[in-house]
Amino acid sequence: MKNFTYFRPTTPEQAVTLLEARWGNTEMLAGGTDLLSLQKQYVAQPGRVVSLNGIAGLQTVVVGERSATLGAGVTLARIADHADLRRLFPALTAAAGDIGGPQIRNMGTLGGNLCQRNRCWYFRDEHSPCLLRGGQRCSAIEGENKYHAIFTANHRCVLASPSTLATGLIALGASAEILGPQNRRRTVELAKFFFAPTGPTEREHTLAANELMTSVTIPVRGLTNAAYEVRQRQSSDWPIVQVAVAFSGGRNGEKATGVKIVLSHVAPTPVIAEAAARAVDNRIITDATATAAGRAAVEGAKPLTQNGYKVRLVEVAVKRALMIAAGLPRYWEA
Amino acid sequence: MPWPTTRRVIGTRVQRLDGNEKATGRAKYSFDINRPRMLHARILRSPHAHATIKTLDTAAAEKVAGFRAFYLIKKAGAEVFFAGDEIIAVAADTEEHADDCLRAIRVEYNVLAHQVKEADSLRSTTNTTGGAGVTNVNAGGDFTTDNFENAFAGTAATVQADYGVGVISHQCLESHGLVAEWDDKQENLTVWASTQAVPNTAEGLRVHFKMKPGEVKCITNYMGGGFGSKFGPDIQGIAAAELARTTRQAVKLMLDRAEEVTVGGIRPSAFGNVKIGGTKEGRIQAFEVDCYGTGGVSRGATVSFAILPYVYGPAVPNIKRLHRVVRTNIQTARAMRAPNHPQNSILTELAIDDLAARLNVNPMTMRLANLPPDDVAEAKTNPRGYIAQRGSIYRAEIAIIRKMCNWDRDWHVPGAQKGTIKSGMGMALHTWGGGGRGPNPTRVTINANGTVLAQSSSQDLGTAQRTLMAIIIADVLGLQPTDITVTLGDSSFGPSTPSGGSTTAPGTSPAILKAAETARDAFLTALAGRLNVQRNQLSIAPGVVVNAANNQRIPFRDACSQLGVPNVQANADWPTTKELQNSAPLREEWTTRLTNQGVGGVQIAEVKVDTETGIVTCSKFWAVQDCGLIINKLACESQVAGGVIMGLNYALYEECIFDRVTGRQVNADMEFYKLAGIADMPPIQVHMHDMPERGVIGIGEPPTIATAAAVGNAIFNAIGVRVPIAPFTPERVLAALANRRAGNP
Amino acid sequence: MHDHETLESGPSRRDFLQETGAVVAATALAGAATMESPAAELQPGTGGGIGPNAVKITLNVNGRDVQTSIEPRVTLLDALRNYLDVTGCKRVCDRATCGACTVMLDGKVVYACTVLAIEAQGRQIRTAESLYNDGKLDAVPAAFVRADAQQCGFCTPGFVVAMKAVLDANPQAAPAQVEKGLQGNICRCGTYEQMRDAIYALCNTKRGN
Repeated sequence: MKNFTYFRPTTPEQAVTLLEARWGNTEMLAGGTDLLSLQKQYVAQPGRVVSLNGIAGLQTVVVGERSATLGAGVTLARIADHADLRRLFPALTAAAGDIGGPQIRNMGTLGGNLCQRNRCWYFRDEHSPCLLRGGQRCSAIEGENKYHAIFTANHRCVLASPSTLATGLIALGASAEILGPQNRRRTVELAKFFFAPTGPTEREHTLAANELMTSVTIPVRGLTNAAYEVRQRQSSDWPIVQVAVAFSGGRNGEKATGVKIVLSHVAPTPVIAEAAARAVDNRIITDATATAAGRAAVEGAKPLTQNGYKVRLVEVAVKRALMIAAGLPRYWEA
Repeated sequence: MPWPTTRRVIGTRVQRLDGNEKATGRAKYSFDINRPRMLHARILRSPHAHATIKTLDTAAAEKVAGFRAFYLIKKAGAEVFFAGDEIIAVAADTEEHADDCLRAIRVEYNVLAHQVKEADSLRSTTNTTGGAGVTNVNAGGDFTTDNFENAFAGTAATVQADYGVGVISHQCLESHGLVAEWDDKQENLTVWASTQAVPNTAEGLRVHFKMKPGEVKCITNYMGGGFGSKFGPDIQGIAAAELARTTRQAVKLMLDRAEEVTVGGIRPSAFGNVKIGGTKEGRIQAFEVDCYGTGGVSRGATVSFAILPYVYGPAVPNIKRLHRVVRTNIQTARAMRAPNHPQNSILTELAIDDLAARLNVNPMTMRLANLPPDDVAEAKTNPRGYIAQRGSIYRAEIAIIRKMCNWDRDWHVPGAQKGTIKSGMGMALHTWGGGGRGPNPTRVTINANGTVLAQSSSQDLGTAQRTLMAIIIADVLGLQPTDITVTLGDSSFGPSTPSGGSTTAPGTSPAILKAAETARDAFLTALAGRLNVQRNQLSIAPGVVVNAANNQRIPFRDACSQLGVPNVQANADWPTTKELQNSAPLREEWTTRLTNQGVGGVQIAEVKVDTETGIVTCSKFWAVQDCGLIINKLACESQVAGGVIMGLNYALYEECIFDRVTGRQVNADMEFYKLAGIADMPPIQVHMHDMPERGVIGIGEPPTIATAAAVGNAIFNAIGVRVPIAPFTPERVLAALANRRAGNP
Repeated sequence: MHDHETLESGPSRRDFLQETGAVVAATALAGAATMESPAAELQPGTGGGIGPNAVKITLNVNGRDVQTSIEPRVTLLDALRNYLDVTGCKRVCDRATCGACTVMLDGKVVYACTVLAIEAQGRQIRTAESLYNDGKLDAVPAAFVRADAQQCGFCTPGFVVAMKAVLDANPQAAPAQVEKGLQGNICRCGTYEQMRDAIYALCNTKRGN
C-alpha cells in the first residue's frame, strides 16, 4: 500500500473541505473493506485518506411514519438487525444480512456499499489491461468473464455492479442526500445515482469527487418487498446475480401494482427491469406470472463468452424474489 | 518388538497436546517469529507469463526510506516462464518500506508468447516453456495390454466421454517462507521455516551456502499447512538467508496471498477421453483413455496416469492409455495430497457410473463386480499388506458404508426424482500407500524428577504428530500423554523423514515404540539395582511400577526419584536400509508388522442440486477408511473428515483460473478462489475400519481422493446427466442440463 | 490529545514494561522498525493531516494500553503482529475474506487486516490470546481442543474469536446462530465437522445426524 496522509474530520462539512475535485489523490475511508484492498492492490493510490469514521452524525437511523433515514455510515450489521427496517424493508435488510460474514457486516457501511468499486478481477489487478485504469482495452470481454455483466449492449466496460443494497433501495424509491463544496446539498434518487464508467476519471456512480453521501432516505409506503440472491457458497460469497422487488398489494390473492424489479451483478449499473415489472404489474403473483416476469427480465441480455448461464439465473432469481415477496411457498428450499 | 497387544492409550481418542496454545493464538508459527532488529523482505516478480528481462534498474529503490539490501535472483537477459517468476528480493526495516522498495525497482521486459490453457497449449506449434522440444507437448508414457484391438467386442454397453479436473492450488493458510538469522560471526544460520521437512530445509540452505553439517538449524514448532508443497527452503528461503547475511540482521520473508497462490504450489490438471465397455453383469471388459494434463512449466511434474483405471485396474482385462504432458506458462506443480490419485479417481469413477447407468446396474453392484482381487502371491511375503487383501478390505468397507448411508433404501435410478431440488447419491473408492521408513531417530528421557521427554526432529503439520509421540510413550510407560513433554521440529536433533505421502506416522511410530521400550527397560533395570530386586520382578502398570518382590506399587514419579541418576535415556531408530535388505526377519518386523503400506477406502456423497440455478450442495457424506493400527482415533477421524472437506472443495468450488491473453491467474486470492466455509459443508460420518494387526499406516492422503468422484457421481445420480469437469460449478451443471434438454446424449 | 489520556491516567509506561510481554516486545520491535523521521502526534478533528511519516499511537490490546509508532497505512493486523508482537491474529488473505485475522473491536468482530491501526485507537481490541488467563482456558477454545476442531491451527484463533463474539453477545445462541457467526472464516485443513461438535457442546445441544 502506498503511504498517505490521514485526515479525521468530525463534521460532514469539514470532510468535504478535505476532498478534491478530481478522483484519485484523495479517497474517503469508511468501513475500509473496499478501499484498503484497492490500496493494497495499488489500484487505488491516494496520497490523502479522509476518514469518515470520526463523524458522529453519519451513524444515525431514524424511522418515521413517512420515511426512514439512514446515515451513510450505518453499518450493514445494524441495517440487517434493525427491527423496524426488517419489518418495513426486508428487501434491504435481507440483502444486508447476506453480505459477506459478520466481520464485513460490522465494518461495511451503507454509503460504502453504494459507492464501492466493482469486483472485476482485471480492474483489481494492476498488471492487466483495464479501461477504468487507463488501459486501451477491457480484458473481460474476451477473457475470463463468468461473473461479469450480461447486459452488455453499448458498454465498453462490462463490470458487474456489485451493490446488493442498491437493488432494494431503488425498488423502494430511496434517494441519497449529498453534500458538496460550499455546503451545497442535493438529493438524488438512487435510481439515477449509478453510472457505467469507461475510464479512469469516472466511478460507478455520479457522486463528484468532492461530494459526500451523508444519508439515504426511504419512503415508507407499505410496499411489499423482498430480495433474492443466487450465491454458490452459503459462507461469505458474492452473489452471481441478485434481485430486489417491491410492489403494492400482491399478497393473499391481491394483485400487485406499481411493481419494481431491480437486478444487480448483471450490468455495469443496477438494472431496473421494466419489462419484467410490466409482466406482473396489475396481476396476481403466481408461479406462472413470476416465471413470465423472469423471462421478461432478461430481454435484451447480451451475455459474454462465459456467462450465458447468468441469463438463466436472472430468470430464476426474479421469479423467486417475486414469490418470496408474495408469500408463496419457497419450492426451492425443499 | 511387537505393538502392545493390550493397548491402554494407543487407539483411543486423545486431544492434541498443543491444542490450547494453538486455539488461543499463543503458538508461535514461523510467520509469527519476530527477532530483535528483524528486517522484512519481499520479492519482485515477473508480471508476464513469458518474457526476457531487458533491463533491471535498482537505483531509485536504494534511495527509498528503510532500504537495506537486495538479493538478485535473475539478471538482465534471463528468461522468465510464468507470471510470478522471481527476479530480485529486497530487505528493508519494515514491511511497508520493503513494499516501497519493490515498487521503485524498474524492470523492462521483452514480452514473449505464452500458453496458460491446457487445450491451447496442446494445439500450439511452438515451445513457450523452455527446454528442448519444438512444442509444449511431451509424450507421457503410453500403455496397452496385449490384443487390445478386439477389447470392446461383445460388450453389453460401451460409453465414451470426456472427464477432468482443473488446476488447483494448495492454498496453505500459513504461506511459504521463513525467518533467517545468522550468528554474530556469520558462521551459523538459524531459520524458522514453514516446512514439511525440517532437516531437508536446513540441508537445502547448508548446500546453498556451502556450509558444514550442523551449521544450519531449522526450527518449525508449529506449521500452518503444507499439503505437499513445502519440502525445502525454496527460492524465498534462500533469498531471506542471503539478505540476512548481507545485512547482519534477522530477515523475515513470508509470501503474501497472491504469491502463495501463484508460486506456492499447484496440483496438475487432468483431462481424458474415456471409453469404457462392460458385460451385462457390470464387469468392466475394456478401459481406453486418451489423457493429458499440465503441471505448469515443468516437464516432469505432471499427472501420472499409470494407475488408470484407478483402483480397479487389476480386475480390468483390457487397458489402453495414451498420455500427453502439456506444459504451460504457470508455476511448476508440486506434490499435493495424494499426488495423481484424485485426478485418476475422477477419470475412472465417473466413467464407471456412466457405464453402470447404461448397463442398468446399481453402481455399488458394479464396483463389487470389479474389485481388485486379493493378490495370492503377495500374501506370501506381506499377508497383512493392502495388495494381499485389497478385495476383502473393499468388500468389508462397502458392507459397512452400505448400512451407514442406507444405500439400499436411498439410492435411486439416475434422474428419477421429480422437483426442482434433486438429491442423489454417489460413491467412489480409493487407495494409497502410506508406508514409512527411516531414519527417524527418537530419544526418550525419563528424568529423576518424574518428567518424561520425547525428542525427534520430525514436524507436526497439524497432524497431531506431537500427540502421537506422547501416546505411544505413555502407553509403554503407563502414563498419560499429557505426562510426556515432546519437542520436535528442530533439525539440530538429527535426521527425520519429510512429512509427505502419509509417511510420518508409520515412519516414526516404530522408532518411538522402540525408544520408549528401551527407555522403560533401562529405567526398570536401574530401578531394580536400586531396589535390590531382579529386573524381571519390576513391571509397569498404569501410573505405577509394580514390584513383584514385595507386591509394592510405586507411583511412577516416586520410582523416578529413586533412580539414583539424573535420568535414563534411550535412543532408537529404524534399521538401516542395508540392514533391512539383508535381513528378512527385520524386514518383516519393521515393514509388515510394526508398519505396513496400502489402504483402501470407500466414500459416499449425498448431494442436492438446484436444477434451476445449477448450485450443488453436498448434504451428507460418509467415509469408511482403514489405516492399520490406529494410534489416535480422534486425530484419525479429523484427518479423514478434513480430507473429505478438501475433496469437497475441489469437487465444488476451487480452481485456478488463468487469462489466456495476459497469462495471469485472475483469482490468486481467497475471494474468487473459492473455498468452503462451515455453512457449505455437510455432516460427515467417519468410520475407521480398524485393522490393528496390520501395523501403522499413514492416513493423510487417502481420505481426500475419492471425494470429488463420489460427488460427481452423486450429481449424476441426482439429475441423470453427467457434469464431466470438476469443480462442478453452477455454469457447468446448467450447461449439462441444457445439453440434455437439447436432446444431446 | 485525548488519545493519550488513557495512557496518562493509566499505569506508567514502566509498569507496562514489567507487566506485559506485549509492550516489552513492542519496544524491541519498534527498535527494528527504525523510523526515518520524528513521529508526529495524531490530532483528530482538525483539518490537519497525520503522516505520511510514522505517528505514535496507543492501542488497547486485551485490556492493556500499548504504544508504538506506525505510518498511517499500517493495518491493525500488521501493527499487532509486526509492531506489538501480538501474533494470535494471522495474516492469510489480507483482503477481508478468510477471517484468520479476526479480532474483536469493542466486542464486535472485524477483519484486522482491513482496519487502519490509527482507527483502532480508543477502542478495545481483543485477540485470541485474551482467552487464556492465569492458566485458565476460556470455554470456546477449550471446546475446540476437546472436539479436535483444529489441525494446522492457523485459522483457529480467528474462528475462536468469531465464535466467542457470538456467544458473548448471546450466551443462549443456538448452534445455527453460532455457525452463522463463522460465515466469514475459512479453514483449509477441513475442521468444520469437529467445529460443529464444538459448537453443539458449547450450546449444550445434542448433535443429531
